[in-house]
Amino acid sequence: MAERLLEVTNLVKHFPVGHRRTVKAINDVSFHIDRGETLALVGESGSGKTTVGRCILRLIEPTQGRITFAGAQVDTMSADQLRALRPRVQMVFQEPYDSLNPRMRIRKIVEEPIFLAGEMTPAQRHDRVAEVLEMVRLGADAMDKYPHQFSAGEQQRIGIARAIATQPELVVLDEPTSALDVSVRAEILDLLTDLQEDLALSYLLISHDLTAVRRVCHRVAIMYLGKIVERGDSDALFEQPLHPYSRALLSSVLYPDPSEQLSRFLLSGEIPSPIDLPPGCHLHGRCPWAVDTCNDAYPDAEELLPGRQVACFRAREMNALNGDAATGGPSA
Amino acid sequence: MEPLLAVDDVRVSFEKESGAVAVLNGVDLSVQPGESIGIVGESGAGKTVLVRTILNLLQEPWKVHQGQIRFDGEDLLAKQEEELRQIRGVKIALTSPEPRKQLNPLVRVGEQLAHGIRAHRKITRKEALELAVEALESVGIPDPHLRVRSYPHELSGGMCQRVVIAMALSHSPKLLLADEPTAGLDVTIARQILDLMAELVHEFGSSLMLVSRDMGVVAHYCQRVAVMYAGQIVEVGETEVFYGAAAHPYSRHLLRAARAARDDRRAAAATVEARAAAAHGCAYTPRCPVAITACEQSTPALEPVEDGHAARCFRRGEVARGEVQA
Amino acid sequence: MTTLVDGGGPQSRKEAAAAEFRNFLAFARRRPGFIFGLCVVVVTVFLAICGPYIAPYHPERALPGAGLQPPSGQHWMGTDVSGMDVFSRVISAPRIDLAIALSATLIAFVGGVLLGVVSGFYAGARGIPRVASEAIMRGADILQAFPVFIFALALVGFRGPGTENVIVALAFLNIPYFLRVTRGAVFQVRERPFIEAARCAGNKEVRIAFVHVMPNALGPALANVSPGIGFAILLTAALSFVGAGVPKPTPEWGSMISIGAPNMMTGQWWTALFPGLALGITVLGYALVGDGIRDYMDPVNRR
Repeated sequence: MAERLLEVTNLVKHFPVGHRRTVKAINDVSFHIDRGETLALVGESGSGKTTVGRCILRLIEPTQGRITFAGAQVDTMSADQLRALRPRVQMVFQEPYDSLNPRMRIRKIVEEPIFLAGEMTPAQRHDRVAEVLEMVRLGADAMDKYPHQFSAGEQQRIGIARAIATQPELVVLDEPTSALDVSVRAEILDLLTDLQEDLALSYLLISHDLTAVRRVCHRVAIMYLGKIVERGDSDALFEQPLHPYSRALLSSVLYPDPSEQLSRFLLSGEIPSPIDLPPGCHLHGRCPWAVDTCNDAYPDAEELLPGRQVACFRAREMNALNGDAATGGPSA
Repeated sequence: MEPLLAVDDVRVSFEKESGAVAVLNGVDLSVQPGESIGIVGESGAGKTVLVRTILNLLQEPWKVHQGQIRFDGEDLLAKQEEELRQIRGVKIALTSPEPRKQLNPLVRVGEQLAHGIRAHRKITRKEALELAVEALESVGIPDPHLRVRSYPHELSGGMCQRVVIAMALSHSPKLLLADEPTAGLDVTIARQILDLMAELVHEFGSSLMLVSRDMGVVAHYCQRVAVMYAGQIVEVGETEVFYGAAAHPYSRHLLRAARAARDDRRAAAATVEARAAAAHGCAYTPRCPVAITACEQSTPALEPVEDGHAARCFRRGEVARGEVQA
Repeated sequence: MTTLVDGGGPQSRKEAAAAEFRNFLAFARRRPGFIFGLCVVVVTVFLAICGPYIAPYHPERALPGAGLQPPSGQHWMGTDVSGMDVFSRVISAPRIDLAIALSATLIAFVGGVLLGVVSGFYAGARGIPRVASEAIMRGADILQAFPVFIFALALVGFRGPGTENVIVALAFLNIPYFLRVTRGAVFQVRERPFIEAARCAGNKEVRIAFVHVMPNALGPALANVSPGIGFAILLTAALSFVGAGVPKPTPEWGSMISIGAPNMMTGQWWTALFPGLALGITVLGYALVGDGIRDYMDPVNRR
């Protein structure tokens, strides 16, 4: 069995805003990532996916819950212990340009994590910087330039180079391609897959775009308003999403082929505010399957197919699954 | 049929203190009455500048050097500001990629709508407010009676986009310019907005020019597609034809990248060694996998591949038929 | 907005500097006020270095029997009540005025920026850093609530008049300005993703504040240096005018105006007018340079 690298249990994050109000960004989320694996955390704005990523790195302090990385408990670490962990867990950010210090040369930017880890001589660091820039397919002449001298795709590769410089085990990828043009997106995803193979990296890939992650992730967890509504193996989930929200997300994606029939499984209305979460299932106001029960309680996650957890009262019925060995069902 | 909008060889540059940067390099485009056309291209292609040029909104340091824009029989670039006001928002409406910024944060949305309506119609404020409620209802905003009294910050991004669409369509324009209408929206909301827009445009019989970088959106919501690259239209054609047999290597590249995710294959197949752009040649030459010597010597014109399908490429025929791997 | 400008940029550092310079020239050419300001700065700096040497008369020595002569070929700006040549004194004054203004502004800049970074970066933190941040801001409030003159007069009262006291008083008075603009800039910079990235890289908070935040938050403070100098010159003059500044007979515009003021009433306008003009032009020039620098650093103007 694969080794558990990251385990997140019952994570909760509530941000206080104003008088006695809280943004309930994460409401009891649990998942794990095995070594060498990519888990995609997919959701729209307000789903809490980005907050989860930041809690894992303790860039945001979780309200409750347990985060274990390679056996060490991250959520209780002191600032010094956390700094010692930094080389092993890294992050790639959404904004390619804004995540690089505009007044630093690329050499400094990529070198900084190695320098702070403090285990290499200046000469070794220089070689390592050249090496990782090569890995992300940037020439050594990039070293003496400033971030604004690069295109967005190149800037993102610099961000990736910085993240892999310390040979981390886990990299949190926060929407790494959403600020990029479509052709550059594909390049970056290809690069990330190659690096994963070469360096045995594990990824937590945070994205709002389901199709973008399909090719690169092994497992998917779909989030809506601070909860994971469905998770499972990537291919199976894409073939047959069981939760109404996953189905709607998938069918909202427009494939660039006009002859393909548009799916009409759509959600009505708006995403509710995470300050005033609706009672019961968070989706019930928008869900075409909603019945009265959905108003009253939040559904527990059930394993409807092998390895597939779904939090929906009606998923079994609506997907025409009987028992636990169901096959077929309506296609999305 | 006489086109509703005809853009003819428009050249625009951005005048920097250290010199001019050409942004539109001879754009030709026509829009028929009632049709929906998609403008696709990556950032920097000049899509937004084109939209602003059509509305004659460009100011210093932008400069239109050449070209003509005929709309409904009138030359827009030759018009005075006063005349343009009778066209903008009335005959040609615009929705911006950031609907929240298009709204005044200090004024209730109902007032803003009513103000827009009253600017071109002689009715009382009360009547205008009633029309505003109707307009909000028509764009699917729940409780429009209450929502007219909302301020923009009280509405979500999707709701703001609906309000902006309501404003844009309040004078039944002949042409709606929708610049990245779904850019900042969540996917489940984006589909709602696109459906709404398509429905309303159809209802009013307006033409739609939908600017997007999303090849999927254009595929499903437009009858024709125009691809922009480096300030030029490099290919234009019927949607069905274009998505089936794109004739420009850049279009092929965009399509491959957009489809890569679901087709589960690597997209950056042919990354071409970057070459310096030739001074006279086709702007795409440095990235083009099928470039030939001619491409570095002269710029190809936008010439037909077949009826209603044209591309700016010397090898358009071969590319369209799939004879070369572009 | 979309343009075709690529991310490539200039190749070598030398080329980049040359391009920057050309850009600057093109920028300056369209702003006559900025050019005027630059000229004022150059002239005052030149006079601060050479003024006393090129002055036709000794700026602190009275010519016997030559009191209150109107402007003439011999005395371009006339002489004052004790017979000192006004022109010589006007062009010698920048030495002391500029020295005071420069050192006071420099101290205020350094102090204000450092305190601004600390107070901005740690605002909203927990524990001691937060207390420090709050304390800094309250200190600035108190300083700014105190009337300038009372403060300076009190200081002079304590320590007697003298150049250093003027510098100290001005530095203290200017610190809150630099502090506040820097703090504002820090608030923006600390929210940018590269700060989170720096945290991920393993930086300590202090290092983030001074290595990552500070260099990116200097802009507004830098833009305020030039007007700050102008303002400091004005205040130096004002303090000298009320007798709490530079002791007489050191040539200083404020004390010259003060000496000349009574004569103004009796028709000897030149003794106070010329130093007054010099003062006004200088303050205006430095303010215009500040405006120009701010515009130049604004990315919208630079495109």
